[in-house]
Amino acid sequence: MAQDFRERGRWVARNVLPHESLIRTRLKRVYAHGLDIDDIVQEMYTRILAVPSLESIRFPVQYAIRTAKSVIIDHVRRSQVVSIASSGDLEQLDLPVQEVSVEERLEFREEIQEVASEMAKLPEMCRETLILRRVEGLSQKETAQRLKISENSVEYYMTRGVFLLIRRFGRGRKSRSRSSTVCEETDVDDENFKSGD
Amino acid sequence: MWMMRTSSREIDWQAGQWAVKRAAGALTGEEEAAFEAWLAADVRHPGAYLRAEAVMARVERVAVVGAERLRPKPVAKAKVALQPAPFWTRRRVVLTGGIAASVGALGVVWPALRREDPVQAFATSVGEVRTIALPDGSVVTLNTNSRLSMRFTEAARNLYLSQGEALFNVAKNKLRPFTVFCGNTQVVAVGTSFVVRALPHRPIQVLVREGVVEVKRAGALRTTVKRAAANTQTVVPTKAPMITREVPPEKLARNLAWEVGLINFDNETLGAAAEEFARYSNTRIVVEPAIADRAVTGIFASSNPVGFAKATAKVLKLHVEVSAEEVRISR
Repeated sequence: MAQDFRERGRWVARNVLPHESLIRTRLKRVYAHGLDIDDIVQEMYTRILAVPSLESIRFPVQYAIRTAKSVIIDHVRRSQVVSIASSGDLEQLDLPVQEVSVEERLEFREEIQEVASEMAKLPEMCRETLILRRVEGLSQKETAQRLKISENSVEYYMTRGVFLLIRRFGRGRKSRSRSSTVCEETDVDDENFKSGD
Repeated sequence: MWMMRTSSREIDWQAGQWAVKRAAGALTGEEEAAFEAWLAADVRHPGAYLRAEAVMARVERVAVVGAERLRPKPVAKAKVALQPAPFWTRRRVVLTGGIAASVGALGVVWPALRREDPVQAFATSVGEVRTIALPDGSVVTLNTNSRLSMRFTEAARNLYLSQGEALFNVAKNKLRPFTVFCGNTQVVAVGTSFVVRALPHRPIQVLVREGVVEVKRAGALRTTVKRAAANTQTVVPTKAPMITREVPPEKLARNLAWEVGLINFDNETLGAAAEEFARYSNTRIVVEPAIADRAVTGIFASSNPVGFAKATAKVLKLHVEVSAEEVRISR
């Protein structure tokens, strides 16, 4: 399993992660009681991890949406709080997934822009550790020397950077379903990340 | 149930920790065992971990553009430094006006929104449900057609629900009370989970899912205070005294189905069900008066009034007619 993570992580980074906000938007329509969309998304990735051959998936975004919906449906079936009474119907939750249209596909350039802008918003040390380690390829020790901090600190800042990106990717402005919001929530999120953990 | 589980946020942090640790070099045997145990501990863990790896791979993936593109531009940085708390001035003024007006009409003075305090405002349109993470770690879920603004200071967390319904999952902080202002009512919490409902032509309602809250109502002469515990519903009528009654947990959960985009009817009349759907959709359900008292039970997607009408018609053997702006249910 351990070796799989790296390879599968790359596949997810290429095919699913850039479209996560779209996936979340679609999932909002099939929400089920007592479930949190973040939990569903995590479990969706768990199931993706179990797929024998990812390369055989031709439409990864639709596949991810279908997988997430099956997670929701399984939870609804198992849950004792939610009972689907006679007039209700699971099929009601199961709205058809439309083909992902061309304009919903992210171009690589756009993707770079999105990642770059999210990176730019990270606290300085979180960003620097990530750049030195992942982009410039320095080791943890070299990174520590360059930034004049301990190796433990490198690990901490990097964890924090990864965490912040985990929380931000897929929740960005790409979401197309938002209508008349008075303000965007981005600011609250940012505050949250500065003061959080 | 889900309240006792680890939050997805916490899991994301743990996943990030493991991903960074594993990227730093081979784990010791002991660490490897701990990692395996963590993966097996919750069905969400492997997925969260895969996502953490994907995030790191995504950073690498854009490395082709060079590290400089990933750092903020110096100019942009200076701008950010000058405006530590950007917000939407014009909208803020509009909103402040709105709240001042409604509060004025009730003749009650709640702490006014000061000009210099950053105020954030959120709104949902008809049919929309939104979850918002607040800077203190609390989470608010706004139901359909609702308006909420907030002002957080070092000493207080104040929120103003001017319309609609919101569920508050409050992060504990005894030194910084969390207060929801709504019309003439204040709900004060320390760390808890509760709903405030402010629907047109109906008294304000407070549903408590966890913990204890204090419901205060400002009157002409004095302020009345009631403590409301978990699994209770407090109704705040304009003239009569406040009433708190117990609500069985199952019923409370049903009342919160909107949190996840569902509407739950337990032996509700068809007329009342149609009215409830009207909160969530612009497609109106029109029920023939003669059948308005027929009972319906079930769980429905709040965004799908047509589906509700069709399912109900099938069970109750009624007739449905769908047009562009309404759904008509008749015999």
